[in-house]
Amino acid sequence: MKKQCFFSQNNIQHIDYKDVDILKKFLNPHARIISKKKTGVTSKNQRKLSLAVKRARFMGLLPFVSR
Amino acid sequence: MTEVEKTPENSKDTSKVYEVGYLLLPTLAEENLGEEVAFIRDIIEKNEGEFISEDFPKRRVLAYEMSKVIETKRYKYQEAYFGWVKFETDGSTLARIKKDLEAHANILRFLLINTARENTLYFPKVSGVKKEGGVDVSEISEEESEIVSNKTPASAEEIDKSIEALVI
Repeated sequence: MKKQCFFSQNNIQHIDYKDVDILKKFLNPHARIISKKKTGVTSKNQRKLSLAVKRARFMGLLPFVSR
Repeated sequence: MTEVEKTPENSKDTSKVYEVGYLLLPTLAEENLGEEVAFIRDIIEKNEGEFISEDFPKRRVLAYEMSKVIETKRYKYQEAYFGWVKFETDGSTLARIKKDLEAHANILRFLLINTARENTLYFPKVSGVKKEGGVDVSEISEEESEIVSNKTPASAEEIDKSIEALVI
């Protein structure tokens, strides 16, 4: 069965850069953003997600690179 | 397009909700954080920002090293106090708020963004509440959590260790 969008399922309207625990689910061990093809996130939410991750990186909540 | 300009309550509509996330220097004492927060709120209120909500700064380890030049000397920091303030303004004073925050010596870094009034942080519901969707939903979420747990750095380190052990 096809994987469904985490954000649509949980009815998350705003993806907050401070929600580090959620954002971490969408990073691989190198701290790169995982493609929506793999995670099943909708295009709209993937755009929000990438913005949130980039904001979190700037504020030092998430790393730019890891390992 | 022109309809937006015509509306009488245009002035009310133009006020937007913004958020300042900031990192305070780790050299500050815990007792002085209250003053710093008050200072940041002062900056916002002085520039016609209407306070909505905030989170008191908490000390946390930064994901990477940051540096700040203070009086010609570059200091490096591994930790900082992270806090945020939400406020409402019509945007005309944002440049001044930004300038004032930049001028403040105890802020390591800050991020000024456009956001929503309601709480944007996500609190997961108790799994028992969300069973109406059927059995499939719970199955998916379990699968997801499994995948996620595999991707966490801690488990990745463990895998590395086990691999090293095998190699040796």
